[in-house]
Amino acid sequence: MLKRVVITEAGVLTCLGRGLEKTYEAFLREESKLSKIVTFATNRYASENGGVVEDCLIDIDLDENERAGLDRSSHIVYTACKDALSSALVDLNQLRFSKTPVYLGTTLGGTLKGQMFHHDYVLKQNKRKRVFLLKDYLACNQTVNLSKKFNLTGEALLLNNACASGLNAIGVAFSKIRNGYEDFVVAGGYDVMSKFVYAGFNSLQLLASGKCRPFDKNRSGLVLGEGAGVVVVEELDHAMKRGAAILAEIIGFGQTADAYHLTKPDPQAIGATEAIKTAKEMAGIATNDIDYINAHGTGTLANDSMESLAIITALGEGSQKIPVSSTKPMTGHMLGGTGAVEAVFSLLSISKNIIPGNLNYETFDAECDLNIVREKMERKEIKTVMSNSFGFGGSNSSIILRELNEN
Amino acid sequence: MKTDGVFITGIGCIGDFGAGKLEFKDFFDHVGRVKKKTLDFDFNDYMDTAMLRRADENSCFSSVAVKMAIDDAGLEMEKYAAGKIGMVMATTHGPLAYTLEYHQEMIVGDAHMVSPLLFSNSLPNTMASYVGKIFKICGSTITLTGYNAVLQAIKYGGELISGGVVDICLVVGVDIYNDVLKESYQHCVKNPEKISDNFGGSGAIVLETSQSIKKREIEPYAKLLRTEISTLNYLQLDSYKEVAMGLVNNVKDDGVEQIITSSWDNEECQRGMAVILENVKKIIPIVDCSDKFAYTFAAGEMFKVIFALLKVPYEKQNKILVQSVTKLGSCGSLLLGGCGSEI
Repeated sequence: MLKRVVITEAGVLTCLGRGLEKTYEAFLREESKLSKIVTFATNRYASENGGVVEDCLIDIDLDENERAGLDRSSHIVYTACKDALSSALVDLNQLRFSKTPVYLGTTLGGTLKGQMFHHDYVLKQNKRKRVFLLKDYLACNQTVNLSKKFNLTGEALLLNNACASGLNAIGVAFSKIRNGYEDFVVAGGYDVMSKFVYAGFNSLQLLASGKCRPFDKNRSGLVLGEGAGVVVVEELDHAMKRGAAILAEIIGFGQTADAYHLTKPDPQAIGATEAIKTAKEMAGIATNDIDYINAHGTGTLANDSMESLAIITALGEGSQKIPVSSTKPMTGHMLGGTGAVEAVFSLLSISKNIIPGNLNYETFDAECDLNIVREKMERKEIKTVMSNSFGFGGSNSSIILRELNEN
Repeated sequence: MKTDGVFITGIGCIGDFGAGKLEFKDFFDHVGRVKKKTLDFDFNDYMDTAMLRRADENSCFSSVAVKMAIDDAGLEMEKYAAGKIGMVMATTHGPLAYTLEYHQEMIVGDAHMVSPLLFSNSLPNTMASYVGKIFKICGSTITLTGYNAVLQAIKYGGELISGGVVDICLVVGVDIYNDVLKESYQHCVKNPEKISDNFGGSGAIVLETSQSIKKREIEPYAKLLRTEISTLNYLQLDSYKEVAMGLVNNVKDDGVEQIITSSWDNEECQRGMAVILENVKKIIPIVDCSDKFAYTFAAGEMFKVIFALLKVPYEKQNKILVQSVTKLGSCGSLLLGGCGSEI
């Protein structure tokens, strides 16, 4: 028998701030925290801006040696995880004995340590020292670091599905719990700002020349960001027994592949449509039950028209009435972290009854014929939210969250 | 659709030992030494490589392994809905050669003018993108990275099938070792001379439902009985014992008749095996593949599984435990069973 699956704890760290309350305040202020990047020279790239997490927000509850050995990505995901597990109702000692698994998604893992490693290797420097840079370069190390830090002795799973990684990690947790393989999983996603990624997106001509304007006719690309979102995904009865506060129920998840191109989404949106359809069918809801769609909405020409087509095709009549917004003009695109962070934003929409605005949207585009929310909307009731994530290589994911209905 | 079992029906492998299961078996049974280098392979000998012209070695090797596995299983892919075929790709290091080249361009060249091709081919899911496109795999597709990614991939692939998400699932392990890793890992181990010249390669298996194999009237290699994965920092002896204890139940409860294992180094591997055997109180033959597949990461892990599959006598109910003990403390075990009269 299939189990019901809920999200009971959440931690989030982005340029908007640390934690749900700071994020909510940023939604209310309709605030974008994208700013000029100072950690590497950007003057010759198409864009100079990004959503960077302020160092003061990152937890420093690690000893000096640990801090030095860890990549920034470990610090960021550690902070989000710590916040997710900080509830008095989570017994950290119990996690060890119950073999709690941790599933994380990332595009590049410890990429800053990786940059240092390759720099030293290419220039033939610090031969003996550079091996230590490997320690937190590989993405699987961040998962294991969390396992050790929080006594999560179950399976440590690391998903690399480009920009869909974070949402996929939550989706895999959902699937495993739904089918009875697990009952309590820590899941999330993360990525950090790096020259590696910046130069790569610049080379693909995907960086916005001005503001990030998802779904706008004059959109010119994306702005990069960094951050992490971590949630506790739990079987409903397990959550009820420990008296956990339930943030939302996961009622549907779909994941497909385009089999189309290494970087471009399929313009016919076949895979994305299928992912959304699968999530909706699994949820057993009608299109007009969906109160809000937190779109992937990167601001690139190809993604936004493809996603619009997928939403309209998959959800059919009524789909163009559903309020849709992308939060990336506020946070930047956090790659593997983005799906998990936006799932947390979707939880906020449900708990605070708010739809964040799609900042910088000005001009209607017939190829994105959706009900784009220009400014934040505070509603009486937001019960059901869909969140989409699409990644390079044609990885498509869609999740549906709903306020818990105990019946 | 829910299924009453997940079966392995196809094997594909290409690497140090050559190409295909027969050369692989020969390598293991008789030769046991590295026979080939990456340059020895012309991928055109195995498949149409038009779509692999710009691909990295990992993508080429994994595409060939998948092609072999599909052929071995006798699958006619066009008969299946593309959305009902899934894939789980496992790798430890991903497309490292392209990643290094990309970094080189950034460091010694002009970071503002780097090749977009190198960037997109440096991402860890690039192999799944190529394989998916070539074989039209449109169902659930994920890439797992880590030291124990292959057993995790098999576990998740099995769950995708038993949950009815897909009807066919390709599980692939791929890693190509290179000088960057060789030089780096030599500083990490007690016996650096043990770092081999193996380059790895790729192995792939096909997972199917019992309904599917009955319909196709084929003989599977084995049934997927159980996969266990746990994590601890095993460099601490007590913790390692705890991890090993986690694997004991597989041995004790299920009448395992052979264990196939490998580890970062033999000493630690043997220590773990001792803990298990001490607890199950019986003698079980052990094959330690550490020397053969050392430092070939996900490729070596999949080769070990394939080796086990070739040893499971189809007609019997024999059970073989494939075990993996990794540097980061992720330990896994995969229990494979002969199918006997089940099918």
